[in-house]
Amino acid sequence: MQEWNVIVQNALVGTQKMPLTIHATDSLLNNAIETIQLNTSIDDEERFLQVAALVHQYQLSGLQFYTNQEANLPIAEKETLQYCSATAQQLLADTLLEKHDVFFNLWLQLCSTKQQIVAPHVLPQILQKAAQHKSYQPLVIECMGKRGEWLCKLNTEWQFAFSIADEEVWQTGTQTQRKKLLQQISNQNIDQAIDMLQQTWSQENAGAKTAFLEAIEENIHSLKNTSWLEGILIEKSIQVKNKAIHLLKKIPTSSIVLQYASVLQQSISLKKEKILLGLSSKQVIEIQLTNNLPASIFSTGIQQLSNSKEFTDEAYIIYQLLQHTPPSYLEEWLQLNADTIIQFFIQQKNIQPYLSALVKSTLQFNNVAWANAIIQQSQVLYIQLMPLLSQQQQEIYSKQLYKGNEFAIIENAYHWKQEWSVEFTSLFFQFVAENPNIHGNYIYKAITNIPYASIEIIHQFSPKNEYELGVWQQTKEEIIRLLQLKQNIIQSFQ
Amino acid sequence: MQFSEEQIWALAPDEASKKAGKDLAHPEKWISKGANDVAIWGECKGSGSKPYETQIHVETITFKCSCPSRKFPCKHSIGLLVLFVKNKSFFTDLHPPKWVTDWLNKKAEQTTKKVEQKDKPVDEFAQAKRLQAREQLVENGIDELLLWIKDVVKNGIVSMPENGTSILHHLAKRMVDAKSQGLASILKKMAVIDYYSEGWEEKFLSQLIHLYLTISGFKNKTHINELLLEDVRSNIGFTIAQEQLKTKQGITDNWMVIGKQTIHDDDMVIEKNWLYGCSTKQYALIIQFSVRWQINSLLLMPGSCVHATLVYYPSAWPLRAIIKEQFALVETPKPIGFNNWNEVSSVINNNRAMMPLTIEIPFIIHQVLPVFYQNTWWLKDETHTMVRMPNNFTALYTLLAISGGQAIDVSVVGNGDIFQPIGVWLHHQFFSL
Repeated sequence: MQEWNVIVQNALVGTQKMPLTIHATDSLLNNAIETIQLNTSIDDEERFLQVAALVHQYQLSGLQFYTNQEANLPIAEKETLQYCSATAQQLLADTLLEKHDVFFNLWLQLCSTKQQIVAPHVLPQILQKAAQHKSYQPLVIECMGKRGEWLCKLNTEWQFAFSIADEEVWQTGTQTQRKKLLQQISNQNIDQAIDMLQQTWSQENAGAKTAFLEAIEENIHSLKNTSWLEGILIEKSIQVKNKAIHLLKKIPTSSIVLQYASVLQQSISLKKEKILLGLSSKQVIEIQLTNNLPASIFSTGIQQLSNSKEFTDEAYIIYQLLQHTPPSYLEEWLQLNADTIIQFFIQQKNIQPYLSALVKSTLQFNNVAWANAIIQQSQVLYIQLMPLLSQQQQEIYSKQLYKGNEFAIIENAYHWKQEWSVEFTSLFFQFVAENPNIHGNYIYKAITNIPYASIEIIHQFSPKNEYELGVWQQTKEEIIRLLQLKQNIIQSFQ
Repeated sequence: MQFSEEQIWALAPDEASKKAGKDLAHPEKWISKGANDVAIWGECKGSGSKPYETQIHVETITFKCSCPSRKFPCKHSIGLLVLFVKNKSFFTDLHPPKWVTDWLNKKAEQTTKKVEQKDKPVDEFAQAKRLQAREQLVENGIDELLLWIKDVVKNGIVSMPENGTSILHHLAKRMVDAKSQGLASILKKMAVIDYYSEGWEEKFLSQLIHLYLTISGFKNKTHINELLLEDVRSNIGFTIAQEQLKTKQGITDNWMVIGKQTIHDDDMVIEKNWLYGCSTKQYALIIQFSVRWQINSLLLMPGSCVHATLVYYPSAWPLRAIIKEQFALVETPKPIGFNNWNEVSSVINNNRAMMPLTIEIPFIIHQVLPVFYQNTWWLKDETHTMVRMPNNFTALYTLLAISGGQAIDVSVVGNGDIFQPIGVWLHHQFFSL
């Protein structure tokens, strides 16, 4: 309305600088405005306010809404999957209230397994959660149905829901998107990921190159043909070059690893040593750095000088070579199995310090047999090797080595994919009962691993000190409540 | 007692209490449980040596618990009430123990004292003197406010973004001192306008005019319509005692709760319940004020329908009301609202002549489609007429998700230009927004 616009313009400038002059097209309104403006008993400001109030009122009284034929909204496609039950829906609402989203992933997994979808009104909440926590995205996409797909198109924050062709992402995506794609492809086929990387390598900057090499690191040990990776060692960027060396060190057949292995082979041997005044003999592993040391090993990261009092410079070179050589090579050279070799490293004092290098190489080359052998025979718990083993195997060792390693073992057990056994859960309950004041987030981290059946045994545990009974009681109640909720969620999808 | 479980959960002060309450809504958690027509009580085993004594007065829904929690109602009260609603058969004890009877007697004594106080003869002279003093204070306050309004008009509102909102906060405080809480609220609203967004000038000017009209109405009280004067007085902050209102005749109907809005103002929680009379087709607004953690005396759940008698506050466009008598929850019928925006604008235009002051008005409108046009979301009816939704409408995506691109029935609140959806129906199911 033109008159109202005049009022707003005048109001911005003020009556002092711009006295109000207004002429309304409606004669009745104009007459009323004139009456106010002729009133000399009030000041300019009051006259302005009265005219403004009149025009504002006039505008509101003749309220007419906007009309537009074109403005429209596409209709969401019909769902092809069933909605989850009302009970499951209610439990999702309860789950979304829980601390640390404790059962959100479980709920989504069950919903997705059953090929069901969430009710429309909950979609914004779960899409927002997925936008904030990428790990939820795949399952949220599976449970959001056609309505979710439709809704995501209306919110720029929820674009994660659209799958763009891999090729398009690789060619035009952001660095984060491309890195994610490369990581996904390398999980399925590392050679394909390398092919993709090769296509655009020359156009990438050093930062992107480093990021992409990082993306394939997890699966690099399974790369068969290392020629391309070896080829990029001539890169100008030190950052990229170092990253390439780092990756090559993880591939058993790479020239770097083979070179280290060759030096190590010349430096390690099995010897017979006389004991009991020469009446008997025993086998020992002798480690002596070869004189035939190629200078090139120092250009790929082997340090010449020891930074530890425990090792001489020579011993430190050996330590590093052991660390980067597949442990299975030792079996071949010494014609001994993993168990026997580890026995030597445990019992033979002069080579004991090298045991931790073997732990590192076992981890670097994902050697399950060596991980098993080390955990089984060593007095020290190398918890970092546990994830290489099956959950069943991990649980056996966790129970055996639990005493004195409670924190590390429980922390490792959170990552198990399956539920714990009741027996292992009892160790956890015992730990929390005896340390009720330090549980912190323990129960929330563990609850997805704790089986519902353990609800029967929780009352068997109690703290050592009577004054801790209250806290333990609360913790126990919280565990029971969470287990009940978890069980209800599971049942709601049965 | 006809509360649903959901309504009781709505009483919980926070999510933690809700969760803890859920856990306590199991019979094994309670050493003793009892109930009669007046109260519900139970003893809950806590971490201390003595069990917590929890009691609920049925008629007034007031709680008392011996636990040390500062939250109100505590998890024990919530848990006990839910357990009672879920299964009354657990509450076998009909005779209240001493700790319950003591509490009930004390409550009865307090009620008697209140009645006695009410029955005391009113000192009309003193009352008139108090009113006169208040009116004088208000007049002084609005003179000061008018001076500021004129000053703004004289110098122009263009400097508002630059000058900041401290003056508005200062004036709001001055109005509180001048017993003009209503004017203070308008000033606080002006202080939260985004002065760096497009269209702030119109928003500010509309509120300035609203303030001016209220002040002018009060200054010209002898010349304006009696009902409009009540609106002016209410806008300033004069209140009418609910007891006085309850003596008036009300309107009995099945009132559907078509939306709830909760506003936090410092420590005060303002709960607006928008109602729709299923037979009378009248709309009403029940406002409840409470301090954080304090329980509201009325439990109105969005989507539910309550058979009750309402009394409207005197107004040129009556909307605000109180519940004089509440009978029972009834089955929720399909609401009958307006078929298009032109019907809505016709009602607004007809009433505008009687009500020049800005008020929020609720409507139910059938079959509108949310559409995005010119960077704004609108609600479009089948005649292609559309109204804007507010830019900061937080439940927009819930509305869109429920709609799925199909026209839907919604309840909205607005002042004539912009309408905010507060509820939506999908296959007869109501969703609060």
